[in-house]
Amino acid sequence: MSDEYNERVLALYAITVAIAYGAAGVLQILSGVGLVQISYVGSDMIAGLMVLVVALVFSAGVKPLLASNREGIAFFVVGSVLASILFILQVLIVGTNLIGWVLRFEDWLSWSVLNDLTPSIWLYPIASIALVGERTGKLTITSLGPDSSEVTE
Amino acid sequence: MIEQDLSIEDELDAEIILADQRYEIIGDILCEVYQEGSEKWTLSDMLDKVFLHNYLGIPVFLVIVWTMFHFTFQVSLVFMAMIEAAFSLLGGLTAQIPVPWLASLLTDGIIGGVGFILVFVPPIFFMYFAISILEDSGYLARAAFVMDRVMVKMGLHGRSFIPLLIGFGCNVPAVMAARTVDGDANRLTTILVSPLMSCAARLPVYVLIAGVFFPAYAGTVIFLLYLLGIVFAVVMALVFKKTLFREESAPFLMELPMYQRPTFHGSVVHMWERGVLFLKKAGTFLMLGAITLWFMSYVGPGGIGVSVEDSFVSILGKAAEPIFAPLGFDWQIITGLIFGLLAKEFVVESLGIIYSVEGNLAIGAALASSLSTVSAFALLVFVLLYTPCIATVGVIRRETGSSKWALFSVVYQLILAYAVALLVITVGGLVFV
Repeated sequence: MSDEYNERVLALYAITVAIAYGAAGVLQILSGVGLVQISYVGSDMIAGLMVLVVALVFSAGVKPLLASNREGIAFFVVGSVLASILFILQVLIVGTNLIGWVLRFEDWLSWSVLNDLTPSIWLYPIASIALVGERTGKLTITSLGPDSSEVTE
Repeated sequence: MIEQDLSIEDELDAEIILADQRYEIIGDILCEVYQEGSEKWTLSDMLDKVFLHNYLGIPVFLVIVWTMFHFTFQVSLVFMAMIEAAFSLLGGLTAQIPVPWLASLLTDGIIGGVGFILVFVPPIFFMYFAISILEDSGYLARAAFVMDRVMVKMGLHGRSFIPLLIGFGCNVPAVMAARTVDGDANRLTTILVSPLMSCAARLPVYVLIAGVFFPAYAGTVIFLLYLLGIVFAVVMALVFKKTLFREESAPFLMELPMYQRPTFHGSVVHMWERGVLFLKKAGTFLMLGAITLWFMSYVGPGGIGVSVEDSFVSILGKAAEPIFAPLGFDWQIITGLIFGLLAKEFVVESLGIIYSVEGNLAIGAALASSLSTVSAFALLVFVLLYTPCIATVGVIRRETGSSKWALFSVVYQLILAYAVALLVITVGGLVFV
């Protein structure tokens, strides 16, 4: 697989993730303001802004990726890191809420897992495809760019 | 020529010269041993490209800090409920003690006070855990670097942000860390604004009030309060720089560490080292305070075992009630704020004791009936901005070598807290009525 192929795939992929996160972020903000009522989006305006930032980071990488500039990979990697952080946070919240529900604490009696399904959870599979792709060898992310194989930890 | 160089160097900061010399030596050594190959781009470089980005650096910082406070509040909720249930069970047992004063001391004083503050151990520990992860990963140094740009643009000293970051844990070491700031005026400015940073002791108040009045957005409200602390620290620093002190800001030199993968064990150890200090405080200082508070709410001019309305604690709170009437705070909250001058944990502890002695075991419900939502937010802002604790005032006096500056910090923070809380009430009243 050529670097050029990888970069184009990543650019296309980054713009898809950016649009998905951007749309979800806007919906979450609108829901927070009370302009729309949509399930599984959440109504925390600031959380919506955080999702928008993830979209911004992914979108900032598109142009350099198309220009075969390795800086684009940095935005892609950090975008994935931020999406992962938001996903892990929401999974932890679901997990601890589940404990409260199992223990039958008063505040958790009416809790449902559906209440906690926010964009940071259901969008994450899209954001993580690239990471899975790299692990399975279908995509090369961290070694892209003019000095491939030079990226070290 | 040498004389001229020396005179120029005299004007520069010694640390900058030292850093320049260090890099000069490193450069010389590299010239001898380094063989040029293809340029390397490490993972640290890659991450720094975005984390230190001109425009994205601050939004990314906000995402990370928001995640930290959301984690602190939301994930700790169930553990708080567990501790609360355990103390409720214990309180049920101590209430059965046949000696009334002893039953009241244990149930209302110790369990209602210290037990109630211990409910907030999970968020405090989780916050320290999150800070440890950020520190161990190397991101916290980047946060200081990103904020430095903003501060320098506003004419402030970039290095001031490190004491401010330390202030997230405790304001006492934050004030002491201002020693690293160059220039008397810059140092004094940093000392005076450090107490505006939200320390861990304020967290129980935020968690309690935000949990009662903004349950769906409590994590976000806490995040906004921490952010507000930074904003006010920067604004006040700017005000001081423009009025009281005028000194040029020096450049901020900082070596950024490589990113590291934080280990669970390392972060837990760091969390424990800091968190255990809170537990020690709860077992000593806060325990003593709880007994004093209980005594003051159990005894009044009418003798021992009077109703809390006739107790010394009520007299104290009611004396200041006219001042706080525009903010909508009742005497119970005012008493908490007065004791909060000793340490912020006392705000929650005194509310726990007073409501418990009154027979209101559901503190959340008692608060909800005595405060409007706007007043609750005003209370959060007041707690954020007024004098953090007596220990901080003491360390300000020691670091500045002047009681005048210590007194000034207390007075300006009280005025600022009152003015901003009143602004919240006024604007909130216009928006929500």
